[in-house]
Amino acid sequence: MQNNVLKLTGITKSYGSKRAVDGINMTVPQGEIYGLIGRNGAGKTTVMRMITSLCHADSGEIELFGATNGKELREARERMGCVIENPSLYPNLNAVQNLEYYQRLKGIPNKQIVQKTLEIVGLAEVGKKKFKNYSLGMKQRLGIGLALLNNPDLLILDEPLNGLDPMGIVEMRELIKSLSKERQITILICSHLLTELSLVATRYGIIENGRMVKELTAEELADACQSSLSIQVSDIPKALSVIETQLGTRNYKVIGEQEIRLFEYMNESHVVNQALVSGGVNVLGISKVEDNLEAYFMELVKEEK
Amino acid sequence: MLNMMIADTQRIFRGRMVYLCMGVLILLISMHVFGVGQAGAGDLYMMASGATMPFYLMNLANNVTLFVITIVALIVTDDFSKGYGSNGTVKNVIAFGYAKTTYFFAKVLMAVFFATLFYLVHLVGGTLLSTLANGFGGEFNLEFLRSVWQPASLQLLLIIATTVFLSGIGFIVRNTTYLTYVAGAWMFIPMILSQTFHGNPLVERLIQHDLSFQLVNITRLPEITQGDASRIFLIAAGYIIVGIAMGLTWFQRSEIK
Repeated sequence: MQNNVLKLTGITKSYGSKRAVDGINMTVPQGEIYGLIGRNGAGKTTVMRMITSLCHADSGEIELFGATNGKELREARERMGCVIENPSLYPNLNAVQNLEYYQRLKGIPNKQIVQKTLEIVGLAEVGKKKFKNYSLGMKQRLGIGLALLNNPDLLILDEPLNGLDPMGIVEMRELIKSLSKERQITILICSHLLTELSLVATRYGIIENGRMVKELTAEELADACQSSLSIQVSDIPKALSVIETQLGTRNYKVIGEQEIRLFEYMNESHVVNQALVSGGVNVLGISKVEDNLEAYFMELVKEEK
Repeated sequence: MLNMMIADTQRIFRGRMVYLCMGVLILLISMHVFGVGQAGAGDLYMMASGATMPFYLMNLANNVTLFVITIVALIVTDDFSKGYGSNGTVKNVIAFGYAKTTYFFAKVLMAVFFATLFYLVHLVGGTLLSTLANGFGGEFNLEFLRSVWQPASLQLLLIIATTVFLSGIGFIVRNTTYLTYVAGAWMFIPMILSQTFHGNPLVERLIQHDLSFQLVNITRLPEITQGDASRIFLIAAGYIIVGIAMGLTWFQRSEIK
């Protein structure tokens, strides 16, 4: 049985009269790359801030490595590395000095760890350049370097792809994958770049208006994001009757007033078209649709509204 | 907490700010050393010797100078604007599993350490410089050390209390600039009140318990009695307790942005 590294139960947080997080339940199993998805203001960062104790939950329980309160929970946080919002390091220090500061602060005896960490995040050659003169991408990398310094079992990354150029995004994606695969680090990551997220995440949590709308694995998402034929017709009941009688399938979904999604006959659109036309249905359009995380997310959010 | 203090000390000594502050302090002392005759006795050629300089500095070290020492210490150990504010490094420390109480005391102790360091540089540096320039001019013995130690230790205690109190406020206002304004107001308001309500017993009694007033008053006492020392100790302890209670409570309740 897979152990849970992190479990949130009924977490709630309000700012004044606004409920930012509303009874969220969430489970992050060991070894997974958990992608937390939501629109701006959906509550993703607030959830991450509560996990890292930067703000307090009004109610509910946070279980981290089995610890739920007080000193135990604080000690459990020592096994965690995180970059929340912007990476915050001392602007007048260079990469080595910044990491050495946190190495001392955490009491890590291994002096090689700083150089090794810089190599992992690709900043080994950056020299004496001060943090304040770094590009956003370099800042992100050093932030992740800091999060990796204590060899964490759980890594929390809030928008780690922000400010990265296409090359940087690819490198960051590979880094995240290798951290999960080679170092068995469980990763909780949130990003607006859903396509990028879908390339690394093995599990997803979708948040909308402070509520967890859905939690699913990558396999479940793949099943949910199956390909379909999008058929635009003027008369939905008549078209459905033709599909059921002529094509012999009920594997469809009606979307809106003019669209049917048919999950069969994907490579035989001409057969579908012919059946509908011969059944007296006016076909306005027919095309193949490949759903992805982005489309799935949009649909879920629409339903939630 | 010790790890954090060691890391902070190394970080601060790696930066330029601490050396810049030391340089300015030594420059100010030099001005005292070479200008003391003019300011003190009206005799251009009379310069302070090493033996008289500590008392001169403690006397001249009016609350402005001493407040500057405190503020400089707070700026050097600055984590209010860069750390505890938005985009601050405090979130790294708290997310690493550090308790907020530990963080608070580590930062306050760092400010106290640097305030003490600057005060000692001010006093010892001034004495050494005037000895080099004008000779010691007296006997360097235990009696001399004792005569310096009594007012200096009490003055240092008041500086520590000021630093702790202002650190507490720093955790509330979260900005070194605002903190400087608060310190300035704290320094000048008793002076203004004292001038405006001169002779008013209630105001005078209130001001007697003000820390910034005591910083100066201590060196004006012809002799420090046991009662004076106890009063100063109690005032300092009061400000330390209030500063810690205020800052820590606020910090514990506040969210880190």
